[in-house]
Amino acid sequence: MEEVLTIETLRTHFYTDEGIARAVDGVSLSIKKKGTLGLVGESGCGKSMTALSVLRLVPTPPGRIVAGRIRLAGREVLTLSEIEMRAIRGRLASMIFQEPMTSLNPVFTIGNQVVEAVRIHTDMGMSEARLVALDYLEKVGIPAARERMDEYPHQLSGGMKQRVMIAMALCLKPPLLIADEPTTALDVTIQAGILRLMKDMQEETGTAILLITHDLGVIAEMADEVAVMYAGKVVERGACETIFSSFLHPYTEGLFRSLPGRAGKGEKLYTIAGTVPSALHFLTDCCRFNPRCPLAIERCRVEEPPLVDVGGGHAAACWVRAPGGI
Amino acid sequence: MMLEVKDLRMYFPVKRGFFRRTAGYVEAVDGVSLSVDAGETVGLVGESGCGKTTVGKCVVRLLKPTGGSILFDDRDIASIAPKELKAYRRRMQMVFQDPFGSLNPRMTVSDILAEGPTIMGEDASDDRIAELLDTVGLPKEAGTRYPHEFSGGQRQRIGIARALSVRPSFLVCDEPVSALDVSIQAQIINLLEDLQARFSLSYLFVAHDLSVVRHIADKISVMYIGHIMEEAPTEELFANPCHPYTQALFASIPSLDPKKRRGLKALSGDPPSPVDPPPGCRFASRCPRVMEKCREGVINHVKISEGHYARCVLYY
Repeated sequence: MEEVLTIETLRTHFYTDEGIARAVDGVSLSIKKKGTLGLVGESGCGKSMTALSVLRLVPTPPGRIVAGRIRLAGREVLTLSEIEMRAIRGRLASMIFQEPMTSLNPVFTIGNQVVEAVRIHTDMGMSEARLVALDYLEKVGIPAARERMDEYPHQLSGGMKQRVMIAMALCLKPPLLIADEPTTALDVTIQAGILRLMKDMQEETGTAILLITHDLGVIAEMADEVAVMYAGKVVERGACETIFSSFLHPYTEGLFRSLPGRAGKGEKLYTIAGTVPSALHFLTDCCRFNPRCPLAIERCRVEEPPLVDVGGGHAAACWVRAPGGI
Repeated sequence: MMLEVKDLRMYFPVKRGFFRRTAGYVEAVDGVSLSVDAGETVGLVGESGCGKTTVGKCVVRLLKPTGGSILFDDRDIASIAPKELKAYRRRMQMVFQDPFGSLNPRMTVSDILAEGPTIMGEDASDDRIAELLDTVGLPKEAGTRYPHEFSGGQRQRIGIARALSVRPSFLVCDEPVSALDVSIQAQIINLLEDLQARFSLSYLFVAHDLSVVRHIADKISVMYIGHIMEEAPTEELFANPCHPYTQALFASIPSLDPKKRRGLKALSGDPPSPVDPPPGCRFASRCPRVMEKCREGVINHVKISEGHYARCVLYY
């Protein structure tokens, strides 16, 4: 099937006083039409920066996309001018963020903000755009949407605000929706509703989703494919079911085994030794996970493992578990 | 019984208008009872705004409750004078959620750890600080550094060491791992379990993450807008959740198996405002099994089995 988004060896670096932070350092990904790719990893592994790079929203300076290719719905994103880019944001790909509280403008009504999104990208008049906005606010399950349109963000609960963000993101039916930790700030009972809504809206508008989260439960519920990131690189990727049942990379294994749900009561939880390194200190020319890896061998310390396909689209970057493909 | 909380109430006045008149009360905690045995871990779960942190803060008397009693070793500390409180502070401590906001950035780690023992007139020597750091798995050299030099997980270790510095027997852990990454979360949970065994500590473990609480707690109380909806021993609660709210909470946790996608069940309706909430069951506005009688009077706890209580008219 055709790909909506293809990222090839993307490098986004930050030039700071303390040195170069290689936040994204050679990431390749692709998302199929109407598919959902889950991007997993702990904080600081570069998953949000990968997403921001797609929309060219990386704060510059200090950040800069130094290498790579990004193809979004047939366009070469990295060759476009800022003006061309503006036409793409919201139209070809839109984004929802973790904090619905801070991503809405507090001085405009929510109706206003959805209408604005519609009018910027179409030649619709005010009343027509208002109808589109109302339609989407109803679709995302805002009760009494006609009245709520004239309310300000602070009058809505967190879950409702995230629904407004989704309405705003999807009202132009973009081929790609980037959702960066969309439910992390919400309670579980609210989270369930938002995840549900994202799935329903995907059915309805046919958008592909790049879902960034650290919550493996959310991934299990939503994703078709999964990419696991560590220290600015993808260390494993594959179909969701494959990753959950037969992960290969020791880091993926660590993520799964350290979940408290898997150990019995009174049993020790599995832990990954050490901590996630800061982007200033990502290792190069070796496996970036090797200081924390229980399986590390000499080769891991001197040579960077490539992402090797082991069959069925499942790939891992590990000298021990995926030495040369199977 | 080490700690017994009975009918705890904490109301915060809502001030409105130019003269800051009291326009009503947020009933953050309304008639909460729970007990913690020596060496036991009790989990207090619920969604944000349900009052679980307020319960924790009342128990260590960072807040003075509006009503009810808090029996700590058979003495009611709910309304004792600040002077007398000092003796209890030594025995009960709190670990906070935010490892970034709860450590003074201008103090070195040694100073942070020495502050409590110094006030209590206890051993605050370098040896004791080194011992504390070692207990939580930090190197001795950490003492001379400042909080910003540490990662989230290490800061949480410092927060735990600070709580342990006065040799308490009871800790309130308020979401101690929810700000941490999964791999670090597991390290801190293991540490808390080790410390419990080593110093025979009792925990009141406040959290919203059910899988964490399931792992660590012996029994669980489920809170919703100031009320305890259900309480039961951990495995009993997971095997036989009775209250519709507990059931909804469990149904909204994504399963970790992509082959068993259940299609998450979402609750409809909004939670009521905790400002002068309506009578009856506070979950009535979102409950799938709501009846007429849920909206009136006081709903009492009903015994389901030994140690298992639910506050729901379905079991009357």
